[in-house]
Amino acid sequence: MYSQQSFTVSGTVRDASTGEQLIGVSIVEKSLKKGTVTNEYGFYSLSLNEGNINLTFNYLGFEEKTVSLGLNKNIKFDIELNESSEQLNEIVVTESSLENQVRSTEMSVGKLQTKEIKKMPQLLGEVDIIRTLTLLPGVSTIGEGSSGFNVRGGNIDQNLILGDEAPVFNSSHLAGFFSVFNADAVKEMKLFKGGIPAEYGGRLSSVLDIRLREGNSKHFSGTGGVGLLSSRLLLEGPIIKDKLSWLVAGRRSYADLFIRLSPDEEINQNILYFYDLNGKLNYKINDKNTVYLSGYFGRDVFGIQDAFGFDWGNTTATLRWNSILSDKLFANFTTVYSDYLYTLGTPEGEEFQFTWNSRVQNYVSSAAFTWYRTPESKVKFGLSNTYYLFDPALITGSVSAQLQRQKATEPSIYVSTEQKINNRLTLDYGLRFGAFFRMGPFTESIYRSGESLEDSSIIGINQYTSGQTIASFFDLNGLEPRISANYLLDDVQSIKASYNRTRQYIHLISNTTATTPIDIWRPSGNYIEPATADQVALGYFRNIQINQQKYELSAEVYYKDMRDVLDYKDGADLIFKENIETELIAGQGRAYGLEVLFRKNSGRLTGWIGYTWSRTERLVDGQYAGEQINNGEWFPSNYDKTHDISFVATYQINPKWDVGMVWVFQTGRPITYPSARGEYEGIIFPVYDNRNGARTPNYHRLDLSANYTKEQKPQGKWESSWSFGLYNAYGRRNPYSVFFREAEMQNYVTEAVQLSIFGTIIPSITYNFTF
Amino acid sequence: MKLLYTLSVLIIVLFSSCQDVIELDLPDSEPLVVINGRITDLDSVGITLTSTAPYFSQAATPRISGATIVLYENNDSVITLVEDSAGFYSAPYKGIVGKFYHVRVVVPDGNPNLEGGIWESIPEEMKRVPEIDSIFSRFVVDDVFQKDGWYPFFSFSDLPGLGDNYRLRVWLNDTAFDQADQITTYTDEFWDGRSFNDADLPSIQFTRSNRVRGTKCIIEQGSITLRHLNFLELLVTQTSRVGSTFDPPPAPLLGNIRCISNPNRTSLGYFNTTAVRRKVHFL
Repeated sequence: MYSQQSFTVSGTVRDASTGEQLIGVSIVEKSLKKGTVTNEYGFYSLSLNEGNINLTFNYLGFEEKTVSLGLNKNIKFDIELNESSEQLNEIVVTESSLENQVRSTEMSVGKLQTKEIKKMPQLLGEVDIIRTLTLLPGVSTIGEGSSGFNVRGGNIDQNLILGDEAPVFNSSHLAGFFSVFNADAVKEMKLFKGGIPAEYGGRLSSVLDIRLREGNSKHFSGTGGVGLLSSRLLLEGPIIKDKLSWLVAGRRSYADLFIRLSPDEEINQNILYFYDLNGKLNYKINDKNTVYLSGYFGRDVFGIQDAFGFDWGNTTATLRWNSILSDKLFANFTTVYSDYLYTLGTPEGEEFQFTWNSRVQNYVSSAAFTWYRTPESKVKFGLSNTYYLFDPALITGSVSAQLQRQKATEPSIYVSTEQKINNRLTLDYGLRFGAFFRMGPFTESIYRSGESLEDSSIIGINQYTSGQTIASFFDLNGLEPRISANYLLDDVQSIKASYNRTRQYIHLISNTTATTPIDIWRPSGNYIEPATADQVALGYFRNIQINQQKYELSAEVYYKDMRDVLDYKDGADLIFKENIETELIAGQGRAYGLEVLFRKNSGRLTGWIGYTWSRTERLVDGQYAGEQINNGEWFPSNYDKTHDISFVATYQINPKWDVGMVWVFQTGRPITYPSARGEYEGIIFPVYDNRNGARTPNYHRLDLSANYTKEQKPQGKWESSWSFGLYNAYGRRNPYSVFFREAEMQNYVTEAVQLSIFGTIIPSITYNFTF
Repeated sequence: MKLLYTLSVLIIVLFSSCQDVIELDLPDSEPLVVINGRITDLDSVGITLTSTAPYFSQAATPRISGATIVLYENNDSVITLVEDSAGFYSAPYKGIVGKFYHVRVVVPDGNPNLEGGIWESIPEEMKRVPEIDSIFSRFVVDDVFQKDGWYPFFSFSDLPGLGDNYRLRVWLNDTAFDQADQITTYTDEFWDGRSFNDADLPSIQFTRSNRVRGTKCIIEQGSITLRHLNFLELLVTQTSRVGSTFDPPPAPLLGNIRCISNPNRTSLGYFNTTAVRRKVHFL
């Protein structure tokens, strides 16, 4: 039998104006009906039979390009795409594009483009990718001003947040109001709510993969803005054109200027601001090798004049080396340092002086490979190790004390295959194996068996020497299967299903409504089990064309089961606690729901309507007295919101003006009402016996925005725009919580009080520029 | 932690947050017994016996009369308390450091708002307490937290060995500073065995209110158990650290009281065993 020879065409796709690599570009040979998609570094590889081929490169917001190539040997073919010149033109993702939602095996994925987010209304004009993310189905928060986000019933510590592959421990500034990511520096973000690929691990509920821009490799440019809350500036450019480029971006808030205007002395003597810096350097060594160095440094600063200081934030550094080992084998080697720390205390020289430090550090090294075996099958494999250092507390000064350092390491390996079985069915199946080891030196308490873990039930200690294993999780429970399937019903509709198991070895210890900056991470060990989750999801995806306008519709149902999720004993005290296990109880969680998204990505009018119906519940039924919540019955979690509707639209009126709106509706969140009052030493206290048995009133809010882009002078490089916004446009006092207290100066009189974070309309104005 | 509460309130004030008193209908529930009492090494033993009431009843909670309360020392009954006034029981008995104390409370059937039963506190040891070394006044210049003026200080030396827990109570001109946000407790975990009048560990200023010279200041430092310290902290957080984004989870205020006649009956409050030292000072 005559067998035609097969060759490989591979290369990198870039933005023609900036030289940035483009992620997720679809490359298709239409007549052969074969294609692929660029990876996170813009790389693609496609093996086809010998002969003349026509490759079509297609990417949202860019002009489609088709090139003819004679394929009689392996070809290296790099290409640059041009941004669609006329903004008002219909930007079309063609049906054949592999990145369209019907064809991709990915499901339960949320994607947002920075360009899109910038047009939407934003709180105080601060373009915030995480806040915007919560407008997608399946993503929620407890309320305004709570750090992080909740995905499909998962706690905020169950999200793996990666900024250029570095885990970010705290994703918020100002304890929850703003994201630590500077939107100007972000190239692409992708949130996996389910169907999490095997290359990601270590958290139960989601992966938020944020890729930062590389910096313009063509010419020097900048972008920035001046707003009510903060100002920002990003500069980028080549050092050696198309070879070595850099980017730096910074933000600084000045909200504390407003604080000083307050007539209230309790308030106006405070200092409160944040700043952050992003930096990146890329060096293209040759056609096959590129290295990247990127870093982030952010701090929030709170002080009471100069008498007391408190600051916290993340630091990350990533060094990456991409290597095209062969036409079909792409490799990425990464080393990462990441930490989160906080420091509080009084200045030196005070009569009573102290400094309190806490820090979690993280060293990740990983190797990831993609083997483009055939156009029908792509294999990913790799290995990784994360080394952790937990320093929960170190106090020095007039008093001194310390909690023991905890060391742990988390190795993992994975392999997964994306395989086109036939024209209709594509499978992506993989397996991840993770393990976790706690290492000495460490002194651990031993508790009397058959009793609740209490300080009073300690009967001795175990002393571990340096390097000695304290606890290990290295068994079949570390296997995490990940499977997803896409079955094409026809060209415009498909059904997808996925199952994944995820496992989490480190835990954020927090029992307040919103997590606080001083909440600390702790590892699993002899008394804290790793948490495990199983999730299944089933979805229907359809592309719809009405009057030449393209729409996407998706509907997904999911069920998630979580085990050994940490909860806290009633009245738990988590601050400066060596034996933290005495305050914890392992609980269970379950979450299920329906998510519907109707979305329009192109044209003058873009946006989406999202609807989520969901339930998320917890069960805490420990073995011993004091280890049950709600008598060991299921109760709704703090962020259980039955209905969640979001309506997002932006409209380009003309080249100068665009407008945007967001409207959200959410069922009120669970809270606890007292069932009675009691009295102790004359103090009236509420008696609680039904955790989360009530709900706040419903939440709804409208935000509006308008952006004015100044007409660009023909020769001028400077381009500017104004953004105007109204957050909470109809000024609704949405409830954050209802709490109970004794009325001031009135003995025995109690009251229920609704707290609204935004008591009024929040207007904003921002001046933006690029050059 | 007060710091976090302040931070949260500050941030939300920045965003023009507001608090509205709202009307709510709360369902009534079965009344529970609340025991509030203590034994010291200086005073008579006293207990206030109350029951819970609807949250918005807007009056003192019902006092429980007619109960029989017996004090136990090292598990031997030593004295029966007498009801001095409705719901308040006392007996002239002082505790001794190192001994364990508990009470047994019997509420007969026929009480108007509460089913009868038997309650006991968990026996707790009267812990050692150091003497107060000194109490004195000092002129403090204006700083962030207070205005210029004379303020009272005290000092003591913690006894060597971890695990001493304290409660500090303050009276100024015989007015007790005992609102929920004025309850002060501390442990020796950061300064075990050290003296609060050293060069490196300053004396403790016990009020920040600007005081007039001549003000009568009384302080009482008492040793308490860790369980009681946790109980008081829970009382503080549940009543005065609410209304921020960092609210603690609502929790029942369980102390050391158990219902013996029906272990499933939730019982609230505390019978506290404490050795106390007091000092008086005129500013």
